[in-house]
Amino acid sequence: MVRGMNAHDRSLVLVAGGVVAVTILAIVVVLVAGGRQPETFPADTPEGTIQRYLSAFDAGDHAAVYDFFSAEVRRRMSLDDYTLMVDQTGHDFGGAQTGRVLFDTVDVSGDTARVRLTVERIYGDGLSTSTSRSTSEIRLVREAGAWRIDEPLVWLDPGYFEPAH
Amino acid sequence: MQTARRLYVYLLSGISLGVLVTGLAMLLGLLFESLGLGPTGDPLFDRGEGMRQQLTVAAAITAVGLPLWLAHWTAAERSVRPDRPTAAIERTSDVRGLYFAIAMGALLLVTATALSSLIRESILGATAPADAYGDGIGGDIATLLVAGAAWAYHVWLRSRDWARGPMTGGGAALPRTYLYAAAFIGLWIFLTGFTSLMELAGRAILGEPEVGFAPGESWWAYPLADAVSGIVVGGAVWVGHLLYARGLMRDTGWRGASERPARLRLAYFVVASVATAAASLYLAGDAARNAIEALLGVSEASGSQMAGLIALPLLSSAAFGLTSFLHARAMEAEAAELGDEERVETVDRLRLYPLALVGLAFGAFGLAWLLGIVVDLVLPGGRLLSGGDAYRSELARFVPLTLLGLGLWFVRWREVGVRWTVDPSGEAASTVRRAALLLVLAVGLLAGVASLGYILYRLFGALFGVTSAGDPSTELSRAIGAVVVAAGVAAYHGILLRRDGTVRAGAEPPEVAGPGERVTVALVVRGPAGVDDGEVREAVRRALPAGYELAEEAAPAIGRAEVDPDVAGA
Repeated sequence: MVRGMNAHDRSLVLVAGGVVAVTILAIVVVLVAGGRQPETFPADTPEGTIQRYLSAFDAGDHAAVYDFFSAEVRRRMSLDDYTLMVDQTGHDFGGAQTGRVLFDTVDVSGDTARVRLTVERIYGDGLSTSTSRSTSEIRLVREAGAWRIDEPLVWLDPGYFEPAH
Repeated sequence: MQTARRLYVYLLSGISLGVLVTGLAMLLGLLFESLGLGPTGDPLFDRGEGMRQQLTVAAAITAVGLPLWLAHWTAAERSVRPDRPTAAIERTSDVRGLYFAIAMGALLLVTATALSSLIRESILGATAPADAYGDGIGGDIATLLVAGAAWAYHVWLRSRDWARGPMTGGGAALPRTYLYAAAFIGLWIFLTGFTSLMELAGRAILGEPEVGFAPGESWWAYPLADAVSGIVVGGAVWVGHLLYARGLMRDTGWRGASERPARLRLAYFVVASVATAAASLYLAGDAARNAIEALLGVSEASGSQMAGLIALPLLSSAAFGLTSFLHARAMEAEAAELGDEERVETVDRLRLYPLALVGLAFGAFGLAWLLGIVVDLVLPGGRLLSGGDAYRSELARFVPLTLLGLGLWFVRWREVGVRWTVDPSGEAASTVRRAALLLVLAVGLLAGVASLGYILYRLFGALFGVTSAGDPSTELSRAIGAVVVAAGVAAYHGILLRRDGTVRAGAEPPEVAGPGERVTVALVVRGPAGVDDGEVREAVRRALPAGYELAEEAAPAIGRAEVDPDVAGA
């Protein structure tokens, strides 16, 4: 078939073949090979705590999310405050439509820890699609043998709330 | 000297016209308000006092604007009176053309905005009074009448100018730019309104109100008012300007002769066809993405929501796609009707190359991203804590973009290949083809260089110990994809450009004159009296082909400078 074509048609077939090959390769790598799935971090580590906190947040379970905060944060912010704050703020990866969280480092010092994460957000549609990456540092404390997040967060963004009086 | 005077007269005319229109619209608005068409609801302050203050301001603005405009516009109009010796030069001047383009554009914008607001407020008042702004419609009607009358007056003046004689250069082209820009903007507003109305109807049928509204609320009122005002105003501007332009095309006089070969008319069809094709592609990609996300289980939308997320963008895509097709067909039909073989060829290229570039832009972008995903997942990456679904979401987003974009490119580029096979030298010499290839080469090189620069920045950062956040493979993967695709695109089009150059070189006719021989070409330039012969000589000198020069001994003074009575009087 290719032999009967002129140079233009041959180049078109090559380009089309390349495009289809890359598309199929991407589909295979993501779907068939499973892509890159989150690794399961131990529950008794600071990073494992954040991972479970994010899972609960993505599931929309506000009560479970609230339990991941330290006693000090919960003292200042009731579950109702938190639910209201999440409802008002919403969560869409900071205005993006999708995103990933990568674990970078953890510094543990006694009963406190700082987990450094990279948050990758994907914004826009079509030709205006873009990504942004930012670093996020989360403070945790150990309470009754378990790590708890020691700052009010909506997903991984700082949360601002009006305490209920 | 004359140019400076024209700039002054038309600048002051334009500014004073703006002041006058504002003052008159305020006065008329107050009159309508006193007749009961003013703001509704309980006033926050004494309305009578407020109206008196507005009347004072409006009267002052009108009192200042009217004499200023009369004085300057009278001077502008006096200079184009047919009994003036320099009337033809003034009437066809670039500055007057620029004035008309800006004045008609600004007045149309104000008129259309007022009409749009009037329609929106009327619909909201009838369907959901609580959502209406309560400003009343008196101000909108006043602005519509005053700005509309000023716009109509300028349209009449422009037609009168044309009736007095032919125009060329900026005097003809600049107002023509207004005509086709207004037609395109009107088309876009119309299509946006039309697709918004379709989306609204779809939401109503599916029972899916907009986010943030409770059941029973009139969530549809503002979108309905917005869509209808877009359809009415955009449609009126688009159809009105296009019909007017169509009338010009059929004119048997010098105006038609000027309009028919106008490149701006072609540009309108190309821009409309390309922009609507891009919108159609984008919307079709959006529908496909939603469908794939549902298939892959990464969407949280319910069944009826998903039906809307797929069907509504598809319907909008069809509307934009049909518009693109109709514009391309209209452009072809018009060229065939004119019977100009060269124009038919140009139009055929304009039908193919710009759309191929739109497809290439979407397809190459999607392909680069897909390649980036592959690189990201093949290389050892960072430790993912959350967001494994993001890869599926990206796949759903970029597979349709790649296949739809490169599908469009493939179809158009195949036709380009047929043109090349039939007439290689004609195609290689085409300006449209050369511009398209050079544009892709430039964009490909710039995208490739920018992405490569980012990769090197991160590599050098790693070498020099600069601390940076994130996982290098994830960060660099998209840039690597962009470099590979951009390099491929640039190389392919660069090769085509080089081949075109070879074909052009082979097709060039042999030199008639031997090396070192000079030929003399005699030119006679005719035109209206009163022009500076130095300007004409300079214009001819600039237009000469490479290797030619204007010999001073062969270029005697071609006219006698005349003294403008207005300038002499000043």
